[in-house]
Amino acid sequence: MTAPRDDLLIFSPKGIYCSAADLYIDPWRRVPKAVITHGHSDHARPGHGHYICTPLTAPVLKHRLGQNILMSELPFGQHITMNGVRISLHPAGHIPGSAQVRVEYKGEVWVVTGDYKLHSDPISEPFEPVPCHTMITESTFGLPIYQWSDPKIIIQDIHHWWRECQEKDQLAVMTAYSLGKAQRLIAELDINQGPLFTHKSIEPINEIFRQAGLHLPKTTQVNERHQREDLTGGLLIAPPSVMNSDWFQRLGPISDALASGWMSLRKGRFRRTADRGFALSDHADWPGLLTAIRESGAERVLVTHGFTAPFARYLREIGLDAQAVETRFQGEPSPDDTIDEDAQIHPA
Amino acid sequence: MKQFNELIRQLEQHAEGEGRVSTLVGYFNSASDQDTIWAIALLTGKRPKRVVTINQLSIWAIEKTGFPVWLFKESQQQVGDLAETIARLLPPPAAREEIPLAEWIRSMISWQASAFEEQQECIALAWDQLEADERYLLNKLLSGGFRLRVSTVDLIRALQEVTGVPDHILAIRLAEKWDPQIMTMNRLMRTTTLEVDLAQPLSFHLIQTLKNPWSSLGNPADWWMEDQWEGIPIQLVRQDETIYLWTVEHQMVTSLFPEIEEVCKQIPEQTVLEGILLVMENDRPATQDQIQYRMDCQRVTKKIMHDKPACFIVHDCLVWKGKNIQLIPYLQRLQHVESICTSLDTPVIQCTHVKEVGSDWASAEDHLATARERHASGIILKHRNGHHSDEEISDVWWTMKAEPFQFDMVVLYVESGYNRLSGADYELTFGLWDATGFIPVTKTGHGLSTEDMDRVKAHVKEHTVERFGPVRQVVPQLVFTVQFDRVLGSFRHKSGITLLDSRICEWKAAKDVADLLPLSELKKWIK
Repeated sequence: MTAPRDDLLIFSPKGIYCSAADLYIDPWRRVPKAVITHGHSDHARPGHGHYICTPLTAPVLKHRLGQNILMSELPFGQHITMNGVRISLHPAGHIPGSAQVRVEYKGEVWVVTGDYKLHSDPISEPFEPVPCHTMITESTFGLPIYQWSDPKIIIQDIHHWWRECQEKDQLAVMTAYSLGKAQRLIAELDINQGPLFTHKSIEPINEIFRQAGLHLPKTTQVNERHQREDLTGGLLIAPPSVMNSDWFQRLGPISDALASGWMSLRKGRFRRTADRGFALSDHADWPGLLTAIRESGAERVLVTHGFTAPFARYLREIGLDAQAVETRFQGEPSPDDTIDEDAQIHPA
Repeated sequence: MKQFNELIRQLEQHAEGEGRVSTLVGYFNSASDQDTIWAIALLTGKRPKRVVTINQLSIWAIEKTGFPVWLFKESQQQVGDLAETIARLLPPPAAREEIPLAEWIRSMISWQASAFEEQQECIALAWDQLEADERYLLNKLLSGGFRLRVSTVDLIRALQEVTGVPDHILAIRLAEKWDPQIMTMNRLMRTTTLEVDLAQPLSFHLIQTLKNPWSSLGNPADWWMEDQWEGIPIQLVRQDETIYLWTVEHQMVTSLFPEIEEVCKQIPEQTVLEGILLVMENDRPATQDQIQYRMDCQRVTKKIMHDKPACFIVHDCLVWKGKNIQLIPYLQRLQHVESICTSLDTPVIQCTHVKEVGSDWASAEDHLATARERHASGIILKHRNGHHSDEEISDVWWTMKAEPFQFDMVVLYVESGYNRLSGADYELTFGLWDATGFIPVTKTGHGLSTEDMDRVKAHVKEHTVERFGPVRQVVPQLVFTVQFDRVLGSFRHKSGITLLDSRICEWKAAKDVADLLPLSELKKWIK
């Protein structure tokens, strides 16, 4: 379903398009000019002519898509103007550097949220409501059964599990996507409990964030030379794709855990992709989505990836002009889906 | 409820064994006695009566949240379970309070008699005091849908570790009828009223397979023989006007076989009998999986007892009226068995049929050769003076397994691909002819040698007639000898029979399909 032609932003086959400025937002096909909300592979794809993103997303894109890409940095709160269209980026709280895109033309304001969350974490810039007329929002967890517990409690649970692993002399392995979730865990975990180890696909991103001034505790990259004894008492953070590798099997007795919003449901935990599942998400839950929409003041809401149809229907029932649209964004990958493109670029 | 919620989470994480035992130990060590009692009750299937239906809970939840019904249904589709959907739809607890499991259940029981509006009010309040996962458990308990069980073996191991009470007493306690509402830990774990020595099974007599020739046993006149049955070794203990049926694994299975319990009142007090428990089907001993089927039934209904009646074949008497007679000669013990079984006069408990071998081993050989006809799996030889011993190596009881049946059949279908159930890479369907052509008789991959597998592959390559997915229908040419333990009549199979434990024996190179015996010949073996 596409919006009418005279909209400021339209859903074209290549992605979300602003014809007045001739640019795309998180497009999934190659385009001359793209504003990128954040570095996850369903939003930041290779091959565009010119990338526009926040200063923190810039080195991530270079790391993932190649050092030679043509790129402009647009810090939060500043704007650029193209053909009279004013474009600015605002914190989305999803991962460090992740942005919402505000597009203004002749007094009409649209916001593309990208992925976002309202719960705060130690490293991501907190989500900022951006007043607008039309909001294009994600709805990864757009059903009322998704209501996150306080992340502090979840982090406590993770520490508790880590302690159990230490007592049983198992290596605690947390699988997390190499960009974002991994760094959030590193920042939230208490290194007084034990050393943190990382898989090699994670460490370059850690370095990028550290150089940008984010505080991440000390981590040690695990390599082939590490023996099991070197890792005793520690917690290893690795992308899900290495879970079935020989390297992983060689680590000896382990207990693996997954942190994902999908783990809030029992069936997510029962898939047994991991020993433990923690419901820690980088996406907004149901109350979060509703709060964000309310605070934006938007009258019209276009709902992308997730439970689009029921979420849009609910918004219509509470009096908003809402519509579900189809995109190629994925939201939070389900635990069954262990493909992490990052790890494919840097195989174990 | 927090503790119980954590217990359930850990039990669900560990499907069985060590993990479950240590989880239970952890819980029993930290929970209050009353919580422990209820946890044991719930995990062994003693549920409090349902307070409201899950549909009623759904209606109240929709009312409380104000969500439209369609959104509730969308959510339910995503979650899959109503109790969980309700638990997650409700907002976070407004008045979180830690109330222990036993107290929740006490409240729940009091709500059973409450008026409808009062129930709704109490439950809405309860939802506000619990986290989503705890709410899920409450919903399950309220609607009578709590179904998680742990095996009594794991439960007993855990309780033994925590309380030090011997496992056989725990087995009795858990099997007894008790009401968690009035039970205390001290009473549940009491050891006093029992005479411990008879309340547990004695060691079972182990039987060795005879590999040497018959003559190695010495004088045939010293030996007696009986049939060996594929059933469950059981010790029947009669004590305090109660019957206990024990398995080798010290599991008490009395409640699974009420028909045996019923006829045992005539057995003298303080007596222990040993034998094999069979389940009958059409007056023949049923197969092992049928026995298991009956033992797995949650409730032993009249129909099950009628269709698959139990039969206890007694072959030894270990304790007679309080006196341990394990060390007296076998023939004297047998007399006790015979006298008890005669006095009972019931088909449910029978004395084993024992015969003297006599002057020549030939009679034993004959007996073995005809074992299959009697549906036995072999024969057992017992020395007339042997005592009932729990030693690892006993030279007074020996067993010989009967030769399998065999029949030449032709390969009709070949299915490639690893079968996890049978552990075979190829499964061949064998058939025989009758008036209408070839009829499939049995399917097996067991016993196929590497050379034979190559032979089959080559045959498939050249002589495939038709394909059905992974299955190839081939020209009926390859003849094998197939072995099996029994032939049973079957209404479900086109051939009218089913073979038990069929396996491939050897390739019959010289045999032509035309020389195969017809299906009707094999059917004659149904006895």
